[in-house]
Amino acid sequence: MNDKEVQRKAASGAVRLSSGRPERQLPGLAQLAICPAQLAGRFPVDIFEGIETDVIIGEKSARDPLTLMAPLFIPGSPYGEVGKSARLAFAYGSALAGVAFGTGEGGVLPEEQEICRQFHGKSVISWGPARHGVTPDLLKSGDAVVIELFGHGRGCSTGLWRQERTTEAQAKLWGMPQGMDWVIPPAHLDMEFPEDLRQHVALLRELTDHRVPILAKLGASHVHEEVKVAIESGVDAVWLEALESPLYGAPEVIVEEAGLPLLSLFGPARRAFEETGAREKGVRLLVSGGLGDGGEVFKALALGADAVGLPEAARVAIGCSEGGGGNCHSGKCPAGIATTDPRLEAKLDWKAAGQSLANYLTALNDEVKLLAAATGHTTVRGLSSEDLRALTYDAAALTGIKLAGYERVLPMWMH
Amino acid sequence: MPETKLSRTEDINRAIRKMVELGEPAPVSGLKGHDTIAVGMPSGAVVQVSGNAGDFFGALNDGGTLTLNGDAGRFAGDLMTAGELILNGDAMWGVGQYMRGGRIMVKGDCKGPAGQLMKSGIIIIDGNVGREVGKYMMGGQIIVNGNTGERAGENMMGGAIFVKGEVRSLGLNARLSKPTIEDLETLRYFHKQYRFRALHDDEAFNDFQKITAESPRPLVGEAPK
Repeated sequence: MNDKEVQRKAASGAVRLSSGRPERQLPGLAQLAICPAQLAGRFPVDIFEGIETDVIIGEKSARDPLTLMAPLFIPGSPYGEVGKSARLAFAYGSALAGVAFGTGEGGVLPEEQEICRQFHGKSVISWGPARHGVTPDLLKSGDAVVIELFGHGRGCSTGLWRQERTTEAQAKLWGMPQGMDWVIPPAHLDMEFPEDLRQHVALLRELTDHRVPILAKLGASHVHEEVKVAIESGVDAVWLEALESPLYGAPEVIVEEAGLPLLSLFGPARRAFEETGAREKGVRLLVSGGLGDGGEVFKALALGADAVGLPEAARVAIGCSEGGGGNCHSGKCPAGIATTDPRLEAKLDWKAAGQSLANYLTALNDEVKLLAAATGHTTVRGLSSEDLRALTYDAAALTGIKLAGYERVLPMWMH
Repeated sequence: MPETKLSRTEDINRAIRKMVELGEPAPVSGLKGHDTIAVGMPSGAVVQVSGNAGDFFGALNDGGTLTLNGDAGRFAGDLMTAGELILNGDAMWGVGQYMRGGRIMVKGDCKGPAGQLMKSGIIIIDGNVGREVGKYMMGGQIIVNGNTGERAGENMMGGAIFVKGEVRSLGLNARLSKPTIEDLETLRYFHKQYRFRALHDDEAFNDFQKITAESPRPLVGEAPK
């Protein structure tokens, strides 16, 4: 219990809004160690031989699969939550690095489309519960479509774009009326049952004439069951967003409490993949939340992910000094990122910021290559949980990988 | 052009798209509950379907004129942006959800809600509609010639719902009033165009009630000064 918070609630009667990651201590990837190769099965690889890190999504069902040159991507930040300069920086930086960026809800700026044309950028269009700004042309214009299964605040609440925070430019891009709040329902209004996800996949495949991959993004909750439903719905990739993933302008209690930490997702997701034969179907696993350096990315890949999203690290790379969180929902971001105020936005040079993002992604990918070489792999597709050991009993219990010292999987994972 | 006699959704849609690209009407017969037929049709497309459609018939219609001579499954005309969708039968759950433009005419009943989070356009239902019609509605018009289910207009923020029959109950933030003279003109215009079943004389228009939003921001209250 936090006495000051009790007093604040007693005085105001209001729920506090927050931006960023949970502040409480969560079990993390630091509780895992990477095992270099020596005599146990393989030798280290010469880094100069070249390590493959590309990832292909949708190769079995899309006419134009999505190829990422590194196992990384930038999740979407809607225009309005971030300004135009930040959006362009994400599009430009990800294009230079050969990875994809998400559009978030609310459409795509013409300048972003131009960056994609000029620099072969790859966009992932959002199909969320609000559908604000979504048009047939927009859905057809991207390189993939992601069905976001939850709205604002990981689906735990009905979200709102309050009219005080929306601008004329945002309303125009989103195709929305001004003078009223914009609701974000907690779930899709055209999804009556969980199994209806299959219908959405079919709808988007028909609309895009089976050209692009279809992804499903889930908040980390009932992982085993929900990943199975998603796979059986025919998606090309399942994207799990962990509790560590930042939320912007969401109730603090949701930021802190709703969802499961990254470390706990991999075991049940791997089990769901095995039970459904998802690997044979070409389905990929994407994760996001709390990742930012090469070691963390390597560990996520070894635990079963095919690519990782970097929502907060991308903001830091383009100039955020608040660790990708803080007071983003105020609209007064001093770095010119989480704002649509033209005066503040002008502080961010999108081209320079995009180059910084590309530098960061390149360095991150190089770190992954170094660790892959050290563990004896010429491709990240060969990484496995055998490349890792858990340093704590809890981490071994959460992930199902071998506990260092014990050198075996805990008995609870043996059946 | 021979009518489409294909059995797979993918093949039917491909045949429809081919005819649309050629600028020809695309007739489809014997539809047996196929989902996602004629989605994302562009302006100028004319698609005439007989049989029963599955879910998402005519979804994301972007300007086409689509006619279904039969019943539709769930979510017909979902996120439609332009054009016309005529359903000569009943429709299941969720007609015109997220609609942004165009016109949907349902000659029968809608078994569930309709027009939720609708931003613009017109939905006309010649029969009854289910619960929570127009939930979160931001704009556009819904005309119901029969009855509505419970919680009509739940947390609507804009637009209008006209109901000739019984309003089972109103949703939060929804209020009832009499249509204006301009509203009645609009209703007469659509009656002339589509011939509502339950309207035989001009006086019957006086039965219509209008549901609108009490406040444009029901979920958080008025803007702080």
